[in-house]
Amino acid sequence: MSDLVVQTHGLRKVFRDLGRKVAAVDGLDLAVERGSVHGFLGPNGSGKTTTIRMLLGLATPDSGEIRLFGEPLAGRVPEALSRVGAVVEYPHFTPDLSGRRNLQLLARSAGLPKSRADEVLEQVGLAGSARSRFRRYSFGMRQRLGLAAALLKEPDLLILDEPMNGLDPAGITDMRDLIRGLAASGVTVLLSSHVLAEVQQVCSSVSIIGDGRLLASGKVQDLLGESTAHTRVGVPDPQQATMVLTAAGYAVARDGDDLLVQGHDHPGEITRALAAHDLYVTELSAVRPDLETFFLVLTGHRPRPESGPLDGPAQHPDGTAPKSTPKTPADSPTDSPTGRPVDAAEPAAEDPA
Amino acid sequence: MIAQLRVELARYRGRRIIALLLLLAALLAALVAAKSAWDTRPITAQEVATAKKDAALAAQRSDIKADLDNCLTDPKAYLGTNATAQDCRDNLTAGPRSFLPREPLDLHGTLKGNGLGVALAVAGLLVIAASTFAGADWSSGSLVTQLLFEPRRGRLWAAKGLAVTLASGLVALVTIGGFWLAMYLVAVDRDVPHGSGIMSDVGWHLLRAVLFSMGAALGAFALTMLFRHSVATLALLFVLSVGGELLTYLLPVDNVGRWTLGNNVYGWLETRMEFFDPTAHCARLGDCDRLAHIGHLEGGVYLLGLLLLTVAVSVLVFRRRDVAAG
Repeated sequence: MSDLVVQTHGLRKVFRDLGRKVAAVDGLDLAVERGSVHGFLGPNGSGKTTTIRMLLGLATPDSGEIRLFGEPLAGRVPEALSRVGAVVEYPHFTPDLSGRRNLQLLARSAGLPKSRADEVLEQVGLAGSARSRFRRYSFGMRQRLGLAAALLKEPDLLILDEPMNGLDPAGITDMRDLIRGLAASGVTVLLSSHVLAEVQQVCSSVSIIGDGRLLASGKVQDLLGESTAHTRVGVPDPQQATMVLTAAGYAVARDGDDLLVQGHDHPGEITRALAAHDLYVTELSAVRPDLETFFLVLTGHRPRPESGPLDGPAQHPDGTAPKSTPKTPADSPTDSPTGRPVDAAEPAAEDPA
Repeated sequence: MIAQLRVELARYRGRRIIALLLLLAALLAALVAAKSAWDTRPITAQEVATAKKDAALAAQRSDIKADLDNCLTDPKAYLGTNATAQDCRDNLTAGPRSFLPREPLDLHGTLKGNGLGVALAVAGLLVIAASTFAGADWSSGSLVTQLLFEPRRGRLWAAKGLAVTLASGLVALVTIGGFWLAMYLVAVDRDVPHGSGIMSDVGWHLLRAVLFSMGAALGAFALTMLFRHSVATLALLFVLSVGGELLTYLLPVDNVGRWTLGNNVYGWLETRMEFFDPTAHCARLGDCDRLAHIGHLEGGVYLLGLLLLTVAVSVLVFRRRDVAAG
């Protein structure tokens, strides 16, 4: 059996807009491995929701193939969906019925016992509001109910479209923990979100699409190129410190009064080298590339950075280029977000060393 | 399928607006029954005495006496061939009965009047309820969620349609049946004719009215599933019921009245429906009858044909067309 739970090949969907044909999804190849939490990212209108609708049988592709659990989806939507839980865009329920009643009816539709409704309500922390009408629910409560519905079938594949929307910080933490827990129990999660920091925390792999096409796909750490992290160094005399570190074999660049040293594998050696020349660091922190920066540059939503001394081609830690399909000028190899110059306008995420 | 049908019945029952519409149908039937009973209440002795007095006064009017005298002089010249003096008295003098303030209860008359009105009103409310039922699924987006749990679209459509049809039939039976039960009890109480003949007509009318309500509700549901919006359905039905009749009569076709929706609805519901058809072709002046008749079978086949066509298109489109989230 294939180890890919979701697989699309050459997926294409065209809509008519005022008589003009617009390809919402255009030759999309998507692959989601079993047991992974896979982020599905793209700007508004990039074709994420259309793709999800096609995966769920709500829309029919004009061409291309979808395989769920290794089997073609065409002609066997009911069988495939019996193993899939999903929330598409926003959770939609019958407004006049309570959250509990809505879930009970959905459970009965799927041939599940009514008691499943109470179990999933408990699981998403909505048991206390289960008897309120859905129309009275806050946005966050609706999200939780949507997730509860998606869990009703005890799915092998969970497709969540913007599940963090409307959740308060505690809700986001709960959702994150829930997704991690599900993934740990073997559930494959396809997560569409624009909260990229959340995606980076939860997802093990991502696919980024733009204009209906795949722009990049792979494991998060591979795409971001963890090896290209930098170390921000604060010293009283940056000029001398630059000379010392360059002589020690480091690639160094100025960033205002600070220095940016390529790599963050052994920060202690940087302090030792500087201290040997009576240069004592006042600040030492890791500067890592983050998914948001990667996403924005890849989807062409930030001006291409000018080349800097630390720029290099986008590479995986093993030296190979990340699996991507460059479609925009921003994602040509030399301008890959992983090779973003340190003086770019958008700061990268920093971790204290 | 049975499980899904139960789910849809629960959804139908759970919609507050539908509950209000059904309550309104019951109240309307009860109100019309009460009004029918009140408007036909027995004549009191005082009212009879007043009627007699009014009749006597009318008989003393000089213009009426002059007319009567003229007629009695030559009844044939005044009223036509075979007329007699008694015909003159019957036709030109008003008896006390003409001065009574109201007619007594007549179930035949109720069948053509308030009974028909109740059947049409109940069916109309059930059409709105059915359209609201489907329209709310689309407008709230909950249909997307439902399709994730029952992806077999044909089955989902069928379960919803069956739920609407059954619920509408039950409501129609209770409300229209309740109306006729009340009328029957009033007739028994007042000892007006309520024999097997009229009750048979009422029974068949009730059956046809219930079937009509079920079909109308299913048709409205099918149209809303097609248009994905209850407003579009109700607007179309309104335009059809008003403009459609007018437009049909403008068509250069003979006997076109046979094919209008309204005439066929009345043809199905009424015990015997006749209508004036201005488009009936007459070869010679006076050599044709412009009063046309639509029987139950003709009306029923027409309405069933329309219903089947609507359902077929609706199911086909629902099975094939993409469903967007709300």
